[in-house]
Amino acid sequence: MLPQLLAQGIATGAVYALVGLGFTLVFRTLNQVIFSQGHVFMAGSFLGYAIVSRLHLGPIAAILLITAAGFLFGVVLDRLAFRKLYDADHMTFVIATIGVGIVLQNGIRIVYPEPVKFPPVFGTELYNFGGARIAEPYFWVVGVALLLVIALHLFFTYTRQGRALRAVAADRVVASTMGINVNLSIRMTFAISVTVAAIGGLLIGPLYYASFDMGEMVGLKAFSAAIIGGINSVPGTILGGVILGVLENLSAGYISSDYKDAVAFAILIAMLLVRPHGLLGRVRPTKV
Amino acid sequence: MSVSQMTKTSYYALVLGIILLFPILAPNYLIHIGVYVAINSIAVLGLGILGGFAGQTSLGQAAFYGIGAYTSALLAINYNVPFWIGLVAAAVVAGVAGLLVGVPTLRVSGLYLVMTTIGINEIVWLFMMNSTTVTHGSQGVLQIPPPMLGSITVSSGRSYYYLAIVFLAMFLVLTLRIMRSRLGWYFRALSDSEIAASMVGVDTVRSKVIAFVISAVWAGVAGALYAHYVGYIHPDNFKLDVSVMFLTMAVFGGQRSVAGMLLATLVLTGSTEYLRNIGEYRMVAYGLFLLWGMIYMPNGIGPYLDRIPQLIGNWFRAKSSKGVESA
Amino acid sequence: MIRAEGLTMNFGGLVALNDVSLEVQPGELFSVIGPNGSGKSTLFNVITGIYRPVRGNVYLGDQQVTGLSSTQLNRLGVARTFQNIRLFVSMTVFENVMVASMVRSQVSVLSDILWLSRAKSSLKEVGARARLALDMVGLWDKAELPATKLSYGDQKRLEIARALVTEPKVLLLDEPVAGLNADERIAITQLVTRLHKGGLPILLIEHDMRMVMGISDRVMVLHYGRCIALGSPNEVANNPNVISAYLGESETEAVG
Repeated sequence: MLPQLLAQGIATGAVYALVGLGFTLVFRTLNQVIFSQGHVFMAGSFLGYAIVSRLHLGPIAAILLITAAGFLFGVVLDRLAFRKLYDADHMTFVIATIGVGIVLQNGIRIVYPEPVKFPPVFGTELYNFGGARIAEPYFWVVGVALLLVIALHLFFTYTRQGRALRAVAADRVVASTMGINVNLSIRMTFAISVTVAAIGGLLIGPLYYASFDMGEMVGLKAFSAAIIGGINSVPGTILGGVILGVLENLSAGYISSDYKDAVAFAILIAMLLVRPHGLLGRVRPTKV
Repeated sequence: MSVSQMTKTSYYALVLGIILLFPILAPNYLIHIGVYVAINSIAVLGLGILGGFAGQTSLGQAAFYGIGAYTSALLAINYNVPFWIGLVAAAVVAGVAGLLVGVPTLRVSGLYLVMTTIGINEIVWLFMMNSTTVTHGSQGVLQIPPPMLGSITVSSGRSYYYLAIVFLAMFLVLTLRIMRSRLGWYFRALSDSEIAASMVGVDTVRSKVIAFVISAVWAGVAGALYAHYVGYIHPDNFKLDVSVMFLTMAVFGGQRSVAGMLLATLVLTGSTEYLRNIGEYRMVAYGLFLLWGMIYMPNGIGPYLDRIPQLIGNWFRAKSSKGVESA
Repeated sequence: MIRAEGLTMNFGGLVALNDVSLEVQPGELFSVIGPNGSGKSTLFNVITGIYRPVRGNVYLGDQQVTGLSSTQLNRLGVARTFQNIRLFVSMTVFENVMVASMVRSQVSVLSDILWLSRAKSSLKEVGARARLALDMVGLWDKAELPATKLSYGDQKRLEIARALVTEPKVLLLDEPVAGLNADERIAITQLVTRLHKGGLPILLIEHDMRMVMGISDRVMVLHYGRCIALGSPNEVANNPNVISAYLGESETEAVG
């Protein structure tokens, strides 16, 4: 049972990490929280379902299409809504993104009122791994997530645009004096955040199913993962996601599945009390 | 009395008249919404003190609302405790819960507090759902008795409306007193600049905890009122989206404006009830409305409301001067 | 009056303060100068309870106050202004000072909320103290203005008034003339001198050398978190270490 639980945990954790990355990137750049991430994840899942079942495309094509769609949606969201809210009160931003989440959730609900089962996009093979039999989709989830994270890392470290995004996150004013197009960078940050969440949705779909109300819980847990790992830290968020996914599944398997969700929030609260900047986050000293 | 004072007084008198006469003239389903508006307002005012004054955001209001509801309901069902005592118990238990949550968590601020309160909300909901012995779990608590006033049972919409309005009035007065007291000023200072506030001697940690406990007590009372009105409560009545709803009402109202918060509660409760079970299209519209509202009215409607008596006064003055000119 | 011994403060790998000690005698105006990044603000933040030092202690009179919160320190008599002005932006000039004055009166929250007569009469005292503080800095005529509508120079005055109304035993001023034009500089310098003559011990951070050398009893120079000179203005001005430290900086820092 343990290897199975671990596999589930790592896969779930990978998805939490992806969705959580979106939170972290926006938080680092704007010091704001996008409460819509969970619902974006859910929308990505349904979009993936539509692509795979209606257009009968394979997994790679689906991933590429979702990437494009995610990017487009992120840009549109920024252009139409978020652009005016960059420096708004935290509460204002929270409620605005909650509004976005409500639109997504109910919009999808209109088209898909019932949960849907994905066709086996990622294959049905069972592989022997560490003494257990693990289904192929799990490898896809972890594999794609890993590739995404590596791609992002390369982007942020070695490309000019990526470094520009980091500069904007560090200090917007200084970045703009260096000639960086700050608004474009912020827009890109939104686009990336939306895209990784949407891809996360596509990945998890075949493992379980997709329903219009699955976004809320995933969003909260992904956010918890980001905080546990350190919401200022990308590797922290990933670590937080994996830890959360694994612990959650282990406790569901060995203790009780009723309180499975409580695990995430209990760890979250404990972390906030003991070490609010998370496992890998750094304390930002107040400038007085 | 000056023109503007007269218009202000008549403005308030008009509003008061509408509130008091409303249940006599309105159809039952509107009275029903009116009861919800009154109950929700109390919880929202609590959030307003915490947010608009002490500057802390809580997405856990539904948890304390639920704690108040369950406390009063369970006392009534299990021990035949009358509503009036149950209400006080609800306030106390919610307040103690607020203290237990507040003391450790108010050392962290802003965003982290939001997350903590979300976590609290979820954990309280999970407890309500799963602890079948105490809270009857997913069955909920049924047949909660309505309040008794001597030999009168307060169970009709109309009578409960008046009950709720009386409580709202009490808490409104209390809220205003707090806002204008030293405590209210300490809250404002700490909201404007926590570092500067503590540097002039304001005990910011204690003030934040007090604000948090106040918001919890207000929510607890609202919860008890809710439980004895609907007669049946279930953990799903106290989920995160209820906290979001309360917060939205507070933010839309403009958190330092009592009038704004009351109006926002009226409008949003009305539309939420209207939208309930009715349609995803309308919910989409609601979501867009939230988004639009935050973009174009980030300070809520409070600032506009406070100008209405002045605007009416100006309009009257303009009219009367026109009369003079044409004479 | 107020004494710091061996204060050391780290941020991550950065040593912001390295074994800094100073003492402000009663009635003394003690200035701390140094190039940007030398640790002056960190020193203030440690003394006023915003940071806890990694090593070292702070004493107010005979009492050790290291690690106490800003609230506690203020109640014991430490008041300060901020380099990046931190006024209560939603309040008027008067209200800014009034809040600080309210803390001083011994009225319980409950009697205040119930609006008992004790609360009412204490409010008069509160107002009187606030007026006094505003008079002292010359802002009484602007009392009803929103704090945000004040000129930069007046905002700095308001910060001083707010600090004064807390009846401090020692006043810490964090770059009180930074960013001001020549006239405002002179006015604030005069205000500080008046306060000094009134006997209030003052600990001052500044860049403006002329001001500092003109009014200080003693001066300490910080460089990369370390004290490199301490003495009368003349001694310090002629200290070769100080001169080379400042010449190492860009010319804009040299003379105020």
